[in-house]
Amino acid sequence: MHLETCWTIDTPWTNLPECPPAALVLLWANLSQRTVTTAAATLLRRFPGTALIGCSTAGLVHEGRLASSGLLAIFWYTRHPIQAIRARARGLANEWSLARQLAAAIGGQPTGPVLLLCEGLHLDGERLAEALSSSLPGCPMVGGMAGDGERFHRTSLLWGEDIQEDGLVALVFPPSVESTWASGCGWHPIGPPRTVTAAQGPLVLEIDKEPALELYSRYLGPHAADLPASGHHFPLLVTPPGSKPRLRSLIAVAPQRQGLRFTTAIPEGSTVRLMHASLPDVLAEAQATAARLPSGWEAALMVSCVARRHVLGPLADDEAATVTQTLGIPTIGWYSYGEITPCPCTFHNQTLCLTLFREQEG
Amino acid sequence: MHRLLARQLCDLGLSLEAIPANLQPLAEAISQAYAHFENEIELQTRALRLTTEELAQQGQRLGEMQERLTRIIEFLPDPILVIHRDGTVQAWNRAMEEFTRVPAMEILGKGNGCYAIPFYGHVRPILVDLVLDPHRPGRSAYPGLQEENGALTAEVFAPALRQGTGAFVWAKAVALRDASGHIIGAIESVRDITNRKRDIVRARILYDLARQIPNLTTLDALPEAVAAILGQHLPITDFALRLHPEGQSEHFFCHGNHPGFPQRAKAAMDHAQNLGHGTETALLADGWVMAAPITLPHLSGALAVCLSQAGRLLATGRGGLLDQVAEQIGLMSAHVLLQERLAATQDKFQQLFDNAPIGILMVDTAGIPQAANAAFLHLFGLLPPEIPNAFSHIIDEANRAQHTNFLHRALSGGNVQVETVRRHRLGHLIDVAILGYPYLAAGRVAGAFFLYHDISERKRYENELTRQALHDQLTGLPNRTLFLDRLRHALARRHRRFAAMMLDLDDFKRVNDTLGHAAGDALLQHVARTLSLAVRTGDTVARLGGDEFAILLEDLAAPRDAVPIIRRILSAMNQAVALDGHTYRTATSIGLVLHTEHYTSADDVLRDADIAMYHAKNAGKNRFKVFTRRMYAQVMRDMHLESALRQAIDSGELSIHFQPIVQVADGRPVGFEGLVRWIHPQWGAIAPSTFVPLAEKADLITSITAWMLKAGCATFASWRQRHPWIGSLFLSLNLSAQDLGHPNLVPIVLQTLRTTRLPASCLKLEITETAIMRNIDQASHKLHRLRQEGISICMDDFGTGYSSLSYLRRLPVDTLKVDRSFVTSMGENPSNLEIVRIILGLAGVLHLQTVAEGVETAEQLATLTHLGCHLAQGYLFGHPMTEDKALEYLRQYIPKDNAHEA
Repeated sequence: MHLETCWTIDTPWTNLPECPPAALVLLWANLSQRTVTTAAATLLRRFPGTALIGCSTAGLVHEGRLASSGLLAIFWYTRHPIQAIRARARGLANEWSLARQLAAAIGGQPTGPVLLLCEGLHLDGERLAEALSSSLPGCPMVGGMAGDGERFHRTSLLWGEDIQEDGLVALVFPPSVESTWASGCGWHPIGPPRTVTAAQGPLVLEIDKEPALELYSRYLGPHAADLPASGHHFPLLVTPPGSKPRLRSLIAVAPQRQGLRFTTAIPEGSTVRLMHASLPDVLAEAQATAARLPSGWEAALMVSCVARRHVLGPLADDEAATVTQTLGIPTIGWYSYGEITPCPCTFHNQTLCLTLFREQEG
Repeated sequence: MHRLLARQLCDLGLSLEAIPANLQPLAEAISQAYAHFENEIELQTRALRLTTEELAQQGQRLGEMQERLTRIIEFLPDPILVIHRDGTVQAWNRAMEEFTRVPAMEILGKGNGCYAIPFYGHVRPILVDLVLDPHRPGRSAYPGLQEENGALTAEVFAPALRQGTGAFVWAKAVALRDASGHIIGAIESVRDITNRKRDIVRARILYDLARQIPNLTTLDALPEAVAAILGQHLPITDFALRLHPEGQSEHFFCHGNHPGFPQRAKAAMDHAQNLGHGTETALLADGWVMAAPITLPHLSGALAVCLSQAGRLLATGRGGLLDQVAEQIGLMSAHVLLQERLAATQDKFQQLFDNAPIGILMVDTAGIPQAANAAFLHLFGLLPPEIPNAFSHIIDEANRAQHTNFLHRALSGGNVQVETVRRHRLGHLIDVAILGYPYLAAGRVAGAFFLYHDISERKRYENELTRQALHDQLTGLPNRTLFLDRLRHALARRHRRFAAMMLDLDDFKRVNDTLGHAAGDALLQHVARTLSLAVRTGDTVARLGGDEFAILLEDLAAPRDAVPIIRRILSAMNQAVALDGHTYRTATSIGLVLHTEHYTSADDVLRDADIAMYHAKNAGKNRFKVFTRRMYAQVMRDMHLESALRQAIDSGELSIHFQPIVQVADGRPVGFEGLVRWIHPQWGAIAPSTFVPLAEKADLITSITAWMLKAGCATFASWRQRHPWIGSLFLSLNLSAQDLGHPNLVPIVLQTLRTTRLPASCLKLEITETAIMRNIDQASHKLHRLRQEGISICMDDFGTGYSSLSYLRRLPVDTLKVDRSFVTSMGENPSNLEIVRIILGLAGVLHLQTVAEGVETAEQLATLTHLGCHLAQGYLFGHPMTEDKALEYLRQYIPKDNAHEA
């Protein structure tokens, strides 16, 4: 396999490949839906009948650089066809229904990795990962949630020329395509361990009997005005009773209830710690993660958390650069509202996830 | 622009405006980077400050918490001590002060294991020491030591507590650790569990003793069992038990370590028995001797033990353990004694069960056989291992429902009794009388007994009696009862066609009379065999009585199928038989009922066969008649007639008519023949030809004859008295064959003559030759008697029978009456004329008077005159007439000299 890319700010495409690809992925950042659908129509006119999926992002990774806005078209070339699937959530965020739709479309066929692009604000990524593990055990799920810059307003998915704001779209690679992956974050705890004393689903109301918003306001000082984006500085390490710890990003504020909304449900009684990262640690972890991966692969997908980009600020470009340089193969990707790694399918926040692809001969 | 960049530019003598346009974005980026990193530093600084503050607050809270914990420990109700890892006492709470009587002031801060002394009286490792150093020796002092989540718990006897009385304590110790998990000390909590322990030991001992009850069978086993149980729960060194059941010798058991124990135990037991409750005597070496009495209505005794300090602590106190144990032992002993008595009783019953001559089977509530005695096994040929399946061996499929019902009723609490059959192991059936009844345990049905009495002998005897009652002894054939029973069964099976017949032997009476009863019996036996051989297998031949037989032909396809069988019977019967040197030819008349489908009563079938047989006999013997409705109607008519006739004799419906008998020579009357007439009130005149044969059959003829004698003689006597001119007129009356056989014939005749004062010479009795020939000897004898008395004898209907001249000569006959059949037709039939001539000639030779009857014409009279016949009667001379008419008739012939008398 191999992939080719075309990147543009918003102007018409130039240098499109000659060969029709097995599938197309269109990623964009900071653009209107009209621009996106026009670009998609152009691509489909050029390559009629080709599977095309895409999503909005919080930044594009291409040729070792981070682009805050623009369009990135990725042309996948494989020996065997790639299946494109979309699943709709029909109003409610019904993660189990999505997993069942996906499983039904795959229909028990053996597959290679599955690239998932998911709606990024309403789906419970943790529940979705659980449903996918259960419905498609052993099927490697990679990718993540769509993004909306640092606005957290709305995320979009692309299916051909259609824009949808729910569910997910996916590419199912043929069994000849292999994948391997690694992830890392680089965060450290700060402040004492605390306990969630009031919560409703993903909405945390009180931590150690203190309103959650008040706790974050103390730690953020004047930056509290920039919530929810400034909340990226202090993600929560959540350890629900009887479970493993996981990092969760803050994505919204409920000022009337003095509560904060995180990416997944956080049960009352969970032990939580505020996490913080020094910039060198975040970058060092990115480099270390890429270094853990083996060589001899053909393409790399980098899905990194919008929070990392926010925290790194002017150094955000360094993450894409160090990863691309360390891997030494074509690397594309995006900044997301949540990352997915396979086997078992797991949902992450604040994390850098790298997936390598290659296709077997014959 | 960030102030730092502005200052740096200023230091370089540059201003923002001075920066070239192409470097402006760079300046902007540097400015943003400064701002970003400044914010980052600010955020981190704040976060670190806040973290420090929060940790300080946490430290303060921890201090407060420790203070609270100390106070909590102080006031906890359980005694608690805390040991630092260096072995010094850090906490010793109020409860511990009270429990050990050691004030905290004296022990806090001290070490070297001194905290063990208040418990044990000396220094030794306690639980906190084992917690602080898991490898420290001393764990063996805690037999029940348990470890859970790092905490040690144990129960132990602390002899120094409670002023040296000791106490059982439960202790729990756990390590105290710092945040990184290192042990910094240990805390131990203790609790006095003496009372609880005492209760538990007591409950366990009493429970174990009670559990032993079912295992005890003899008193000898009791002491060992009790000693073992007490030893298991109490630190007992010595044990003694004395039991004295009423009426038995005393049992004494003693087992101990102390040399002086037996004596001390006896003394203590005596003392306890005298007091009536438990005692404790002085120390024996290192133990306490305690005793308690056993008192029951039929058993006395005592228990004595030697206990260590801990054991004594458990045995004394609330309630007195030893007293309760003694009470329990008493109950156990009583139970053993009861068991022994029960065993003896059970033994007796077992022997009764084993040796009973009747088979006994015991089943459980599920109906499964549990036990059977030898008689049962013998009766059915079973082996003991087959008892649980006994029913499957002895119950036939045919009896299964009965058996199930039987079992159910017995197990439901009812007594059941039945006579039935059960199968022997070898296959044959045995008649048994079974009695089943439930047995109860604690007022509920616990199973059932079944008693099997072999009644084969009785059944055999009963069957023989039944057979005898249903069979004819002479021939061995079924008798009337059995025949009717079979007939009833045949009627019940309506779908199968059958026929019934009745038959008797023609002239059997003659065999009996002439050859004797032995020959008669032999003939009947011969007939029985003959009939049995003539019918088909399955048909029934029965002897109803006398020479009457009946045959039931079953399963006929069509009524006519009976006919060949009947012909075969007739043919077989119509054979010559050798009897007592004589050859006798049997013949039979058969009455047959073919259409049996309309009958409901067996008696009716037999009655109609009888009717048909009667007709067969009337029709000429040695033949069969099939019953018809007409026969029945006739019989009914005859029956009514017979009934009316019986009444007629008494109620004067009979009358006598007289027909003149005249001299052929001059036509003058010389006598009258008396003829019977019957005028029924409703039916009018009934012809003698109708009722006389009926009267003969119904044995009424002699009554009629007697009536005729009386009426005729009275009339003649009256005439003679009132009309002397009547002179020598005679009265001629008919005797039947039955009259001749009647034993009182002669007395009746003579008595009538005496009563009526009619001279015997005026009476002439007419007898047919057939009647005489039926029993010639008897007839001859009687006629001679009558003749001796002066009565004339006339042989009636002469020429129609088989008269033998030799008989005629031997008989005292005066007159021959020529039958009317010859007289009436002698004008047209020369051979009849010839017969009349011969008869008259014969009479002349024998000097007999002759009478011709049926003379109706003058020609006949002329012929008779010519042939020399003496007397004649017939319509030519006069019809039979009433008494008055007869007198009137006579007047024609009054002699002249007597005419005035008329």
